[in-house]
Amino acid sequence: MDENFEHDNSRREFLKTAASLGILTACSGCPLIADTAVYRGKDYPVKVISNLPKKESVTLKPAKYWKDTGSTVHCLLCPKYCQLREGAMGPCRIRVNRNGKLYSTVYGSPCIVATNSIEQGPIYHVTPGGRYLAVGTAGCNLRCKYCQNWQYSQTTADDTTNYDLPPEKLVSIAKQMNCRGILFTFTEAVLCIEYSMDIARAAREAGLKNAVITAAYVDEEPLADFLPLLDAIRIDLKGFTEKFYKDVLAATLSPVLNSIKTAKASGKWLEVVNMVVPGLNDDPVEFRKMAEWLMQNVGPLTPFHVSRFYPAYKLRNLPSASVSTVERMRKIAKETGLRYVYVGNCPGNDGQNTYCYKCGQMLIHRIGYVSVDKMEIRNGKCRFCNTSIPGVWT
Amino acid sequence: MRVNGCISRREFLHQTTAGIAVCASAPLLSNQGAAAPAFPEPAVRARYWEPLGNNLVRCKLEPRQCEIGDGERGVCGVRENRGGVYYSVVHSLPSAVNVAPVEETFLHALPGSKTLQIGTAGCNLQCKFCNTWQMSQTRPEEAPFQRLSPQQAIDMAKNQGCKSVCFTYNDPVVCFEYMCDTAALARKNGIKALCHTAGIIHDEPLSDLTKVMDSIVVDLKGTTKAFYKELCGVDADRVYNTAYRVARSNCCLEIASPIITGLNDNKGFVTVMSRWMLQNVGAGVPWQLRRFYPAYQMMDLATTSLITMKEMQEMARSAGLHHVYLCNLARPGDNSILCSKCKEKVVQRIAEGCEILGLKEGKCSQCGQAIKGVWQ
Repeated sequence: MDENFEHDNSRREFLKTAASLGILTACSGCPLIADTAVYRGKDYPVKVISNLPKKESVTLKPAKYWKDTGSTVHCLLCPKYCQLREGAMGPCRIRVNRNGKLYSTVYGSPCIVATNSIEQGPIYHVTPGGRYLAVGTAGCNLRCKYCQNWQYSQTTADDTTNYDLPPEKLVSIAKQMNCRGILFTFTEAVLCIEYSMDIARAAREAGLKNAVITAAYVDEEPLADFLPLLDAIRIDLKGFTEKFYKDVLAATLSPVLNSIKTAKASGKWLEVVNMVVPGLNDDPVEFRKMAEWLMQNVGPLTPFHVSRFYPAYKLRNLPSASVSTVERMRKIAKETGLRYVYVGNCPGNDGQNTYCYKCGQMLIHRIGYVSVDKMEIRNGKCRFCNTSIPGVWT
Repeated sequence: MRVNGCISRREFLHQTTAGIAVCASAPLLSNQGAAAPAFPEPAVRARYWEPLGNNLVRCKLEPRQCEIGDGERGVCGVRENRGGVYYSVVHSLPSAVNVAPVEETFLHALPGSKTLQIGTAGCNLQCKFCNTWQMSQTRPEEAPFQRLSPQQAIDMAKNQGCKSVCFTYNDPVVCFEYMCDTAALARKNGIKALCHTAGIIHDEPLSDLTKVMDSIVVDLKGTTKAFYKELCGVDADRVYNTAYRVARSNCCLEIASPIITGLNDNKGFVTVMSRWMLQNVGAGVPWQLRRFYPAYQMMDLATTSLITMKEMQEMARSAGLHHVYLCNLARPGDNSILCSKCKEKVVQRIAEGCEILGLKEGKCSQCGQAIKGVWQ
């Protein structure tokens, strides 16, 4: 009797749960469909790809950009320039010295593969609303205390679930998923440079675009090799003081500034992002200096995103940045002369839409980070006044 | 003794002490099993020293002229006084042996060939920007080592298809005997001998060295006494003296300069260096501008900007130097050799590829201009 009663109870509970789950799914589904009118009949740009082949263990691939100093290898990929002893792993946690040679542990084994819309970069002036195959490998050379992908970036390839995707396979998946291109994101694409460059080459041959999301903490040489393969590069300029870079990211500022200049000079499409962290880099005076530096070095046409901080990783103790702060920063940046300044992480905010700087008409209306439901740019020009808007539109 | 299954105080103390003793001795026991092979006793007598009586010796290899008591070593850490006899500790015991493209160290020597790079522990300089400090700024006992006699080194070079042996990594002056023995043997076997040195050496050993070497790279790191004093702990005069003397010997000379951000990556350095080179070693001597990467005690400096290096290269060329190269890059750029007279490309060397276009017996096949270097 007792048992029976329990059984009855659990069954009833099960039915209840199932019913509520169904309702929940329906509820969450509805606004999804309602909000994305543009995608009716089309696939939603953000999709999880199932049935990817998994990799059982970490494999080593000879790395590029290093020198032998006799007793160590000197990694020349990023401005940390680590000298690694036999068996040692760099602070990026993906490049290792085995038998006096440097190897990459993440070649052909990304730990995240998904389709994303390019707005998630955020990259706003490249094929708006386009679906991209976003790839990320484990490991990072920075130690950002507010990393949002720390489960992937602050770990080794041993500790992540990796997929077995050689460059050609990845590109064929991108084509299969109807992607416009490859988006190197989540962690640091320049660290798995051997893999990134091979993917980029294969993607270009297949007629796909390459866009990279990076903190650009990388040496001049690999960057100069990587840039010709890209269509767009989005660089994080996380702060504008050496102190911030040292204290919050365990890195230095000057190589990043150099990379931004190099990327601009290469003629590839560049966008710059700054995330405003309360109390750490939200000083309007510093921010103005940053905007002025950008104005001088990359010019007024480079889009600049001022992104809102949410508590993450080791900065869970800080409040998220207020929308008003981000809007104030945006205003400062606009005052210095930058034409395309966007707010990030502020859903529904008008600051994420693109306006023609001349006639003031709204050209691109964005919904969150995932979709675009108004696109008034024709052949790279404003549809209303024919002013050309910089970007990669086709 | 046991009361209700408990142990007495004395028993407890006994057992705990025994346990602690076992725990404490465990690491010692395991260490004994996995001990590294002991560093061999010094067996090869050093050259260039004099006894001072009372078992003291004076090293006369390099200008510091260390006075060394019994059982002590010189400032290099690899030459030891044993009962009034001076030994070279690292003879036949290199720390690093690698087969590498010769272009890593020499640009006017056997283009496109492989070389056997050898380096031992110890150095007679203490450069704050050393990038091989794990070997050079340590005692040989603390660095890895392997046994490789001069004969074995030559055999290894032959087996690996190397056309030369190159002493590099640390300053090979400190393993002078090993280097000279290997070089003399190399010559007998038709293999070229090369070395990369900072040039802190006395004149007599240097003249011995130039007799057995085919080409020497001398590092000219800075142009001021203060630079050498503060960053390398040595006297600048000796270095320039070495380059001057090598240029007047039968041995080929190349000059290498690390370009360090904020210290010598400026126009002044190029101006002074190119003027000095034109006056003292000649316009045909190759000059390697080597990119600096933060290392050792200069981790806080930025790496050399490639733009700056290219500007310096252009400046040096317009100042009259014929062969100026950018070296130590992760990915070798265009290091082609142009004829100093007709500017024809005699050796095409872009990235890893190397092709000899017009070089016959060390001369440009177009105009017959001799180009300094080791060509065959």
